Amino acid sequence: MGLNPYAPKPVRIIRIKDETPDTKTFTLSPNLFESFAPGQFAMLTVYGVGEAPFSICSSPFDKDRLQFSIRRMGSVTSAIHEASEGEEIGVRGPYGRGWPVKEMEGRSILLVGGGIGLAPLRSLILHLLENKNNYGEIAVCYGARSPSLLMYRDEFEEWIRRGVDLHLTVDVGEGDWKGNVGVVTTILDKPKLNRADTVVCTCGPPVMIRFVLKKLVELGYSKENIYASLESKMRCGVGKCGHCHFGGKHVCLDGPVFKYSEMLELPRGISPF
Amino acid sequence: MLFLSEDGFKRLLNGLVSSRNVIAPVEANGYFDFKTIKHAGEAFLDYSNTRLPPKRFFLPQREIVFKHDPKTGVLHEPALGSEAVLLGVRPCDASALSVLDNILLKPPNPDPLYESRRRSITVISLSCAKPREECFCNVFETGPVRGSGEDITLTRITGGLLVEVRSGRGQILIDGFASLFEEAGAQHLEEYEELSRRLTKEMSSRIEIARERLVRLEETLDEKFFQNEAQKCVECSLCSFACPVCYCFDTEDYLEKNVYVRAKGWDTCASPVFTRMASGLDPRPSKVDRFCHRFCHKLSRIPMAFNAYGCVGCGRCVSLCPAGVDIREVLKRWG
Amino acid sequence: MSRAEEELRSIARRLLDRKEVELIVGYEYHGGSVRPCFVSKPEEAGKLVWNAECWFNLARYLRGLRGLRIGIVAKGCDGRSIVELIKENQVDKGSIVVIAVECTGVLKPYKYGSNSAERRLADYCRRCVSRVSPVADYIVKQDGQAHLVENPVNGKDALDWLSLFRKCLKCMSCIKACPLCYCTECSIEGFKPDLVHRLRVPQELFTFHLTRALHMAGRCVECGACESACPVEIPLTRLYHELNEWFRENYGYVPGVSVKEAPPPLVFKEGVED
Repeated sequence: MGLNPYAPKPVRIIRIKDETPDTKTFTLSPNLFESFAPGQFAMLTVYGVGEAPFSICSSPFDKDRLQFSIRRMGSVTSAIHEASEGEEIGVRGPYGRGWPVKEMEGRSILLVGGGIGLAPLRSLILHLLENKNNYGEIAVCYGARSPSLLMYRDEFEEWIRRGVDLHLTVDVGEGDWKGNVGVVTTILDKPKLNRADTVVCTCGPPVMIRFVLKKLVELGYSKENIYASLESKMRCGVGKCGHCHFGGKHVCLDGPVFKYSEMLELPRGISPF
Repeated sequence: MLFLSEDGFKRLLNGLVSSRNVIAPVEANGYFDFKTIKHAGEAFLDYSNTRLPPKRFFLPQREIVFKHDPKTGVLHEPALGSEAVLLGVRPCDASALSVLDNILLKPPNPDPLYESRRRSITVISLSCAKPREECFCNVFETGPVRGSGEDITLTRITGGLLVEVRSGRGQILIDGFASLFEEAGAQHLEEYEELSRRLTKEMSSRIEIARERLVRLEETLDEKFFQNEAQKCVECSLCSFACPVCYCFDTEDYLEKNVYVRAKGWDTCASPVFTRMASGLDPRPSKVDRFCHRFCHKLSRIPMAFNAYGCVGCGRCVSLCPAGVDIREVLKRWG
Repeated sequence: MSRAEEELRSIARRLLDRKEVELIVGYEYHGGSVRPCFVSKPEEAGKLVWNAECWFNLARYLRGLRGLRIGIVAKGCDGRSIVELIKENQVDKGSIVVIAVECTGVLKPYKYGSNSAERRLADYCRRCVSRVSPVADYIVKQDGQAHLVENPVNGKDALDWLSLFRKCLKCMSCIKACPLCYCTECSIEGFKPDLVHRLRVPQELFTFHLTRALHMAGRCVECGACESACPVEIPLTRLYHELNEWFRENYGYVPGVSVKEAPPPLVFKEGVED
């Protein structure tokens, strides 16, 4: 039989980190992918329970490990949350079209994330910082519902030190939060970038993407340079099961990263417009 | 083109049944269905069409994708398809296989389960003699005389059958019985042309659609029309299961005798949970959304993504839908 | 057009004209057969039909039309399912107008791939307990010319249920066509809870059908919609009839006959002789 694209390979969980009350970052090893692009995803199998797609959030340069930030939602994610270090997880991938790193060379980049949407953007941040000289300024606007729901809080300092212009906001302040309070659209004007030429990548809940896209255009960012990572139910990840097929495009093949112009063509329901 | 006499056909059938696994239409419980036959006489080739399409021989309703033994770490791959001859498929159902080829064999990840079955089954189609009330194969050029996914096309004419070899696989089968076939004569071909013309005319008189216009479905979606039609739909899954082209599948993971198993099987976009994510977010939350999608998918989106129409005009959904949903109404409105 | 059809259409027209209902659920002629239709304008009432092809139980649609004033065309069995729906608090009688049509049986629907063009009275019609709906705002009597009248016949031959269930595709048509299967998450579909596999497993088809039969026992009004919807000819109504017989023999209870009659499982008290 030819290569069976539906069969996962078993790897082990080597580290589990609590990011927020309902989200954990799982580090899996070994990394069986020859390579992957930031923004791509993998299908993770909890044997006997099910499979679901998750964005890879680790650096593409890490050849030993793969990281996924997973929010507890349904049967598969709950089962993953119950798992402990050392347990086996099935992995298939990498799948999908990642962020347009080629287009970003020599230009400034703005990353806009909401909640767990920062996960595929983290992979991109780590990729960009590895070869920072190839790119212009890197700015990140990130918002979550409350301070305790900000992902990767312990990495922010490192990112800033390595040159990321980081702007944070929360919907609702809490504890000793002294930063911006408001939805992420309220801080989009903070980064000082050549807006007409900046490549923008965004990921977050659909409603956030909708308002962010609108605000970006208002602020003068060019539609030619705006990309978003969309979410869909998937059963195969390789364009055969039909669950992520919208308007002639498969979120698993032609996405999850879509250009602004492509998103305009997507049918209502999946399109952020 | 070759000619096979009636007597030759009997001998071919007997020869096939004695040397291979032959699947042919039979009568059972009031309707026609494909079954493995032990004697040539069991085949009922004068049939209209089978209640259910032959897609289950290529895309089973449920199949094991892999088994993982956690103790040994051994991965059990599913078995390869076994050799068989599928005899008497109607051109529309055979054309459905070529549509499935476009979808499931498309790189970069061709479906190896489907591929192994497609490679091991020789498909022999049989032209329709009497198109049925519900058929509209002419809209998608999938019949009534010849389809696009078979290995051999048989057409009944006076005294025997005209044989058209459509693929290498078909040629291999013919070569195995070479003495039974002769070159088709001029009068055979004439009769074939006449039959072709007559049947095509009959089909066109019923429904005439300009296929290219179906792409307008996306652009000019008439919400009101679909809302009206969708009211009837009861969201079962009969249209998807009875359709020779519908291929969407669901997966199911479970533990059996200490081995982890994943099965894949037929799913339907009519299901309220087809696009619903664990968070509850759903790009197609209402029945109308799903109803619209089915037709847009078959008539416009599958062509966009796979270069083939997602409908072959067999008419099963039209006849079997308990609520009387009729794809021809969508075709007439947008085609 | 029959006299009964004419009367049906004029009732529908009047109800819509006077805005007594917002929508009429009935049958229309389509492609050589009949299918459900929804009429909201008085001028559309002309497309309503009533004949022996009207096998579908229109009460199935009531659950999606809550909050609207509905007129519904109902055969005897359809009306009995409305009675059960009222008893189970799924339908508010005040919001529906029942146009009861006197039925003398429907034909087994013709289906794609049938090996015979012969049309016969549906099996379940032979066991009909009431040809007119027990709840009715209007009654449209049969014409002098009856459609089909056959002597009631109760098949007592044993059926090989295991072989019959094995043919099942788990297409869910029986469940989705049934007015009384209104659970938003069907327990035997396989999504939640995991009582059965979601995908068709031949060994589980018996569990699937037995569970449904137990869920229908004492509730099923034997309208036959499930049986007529089934693509593989499983005589489901016969199975539910057998179970209903148990209620009839032991409690004298027949579902769907009276809104006032509570189902035995609801009023049964242990140790009390009835």
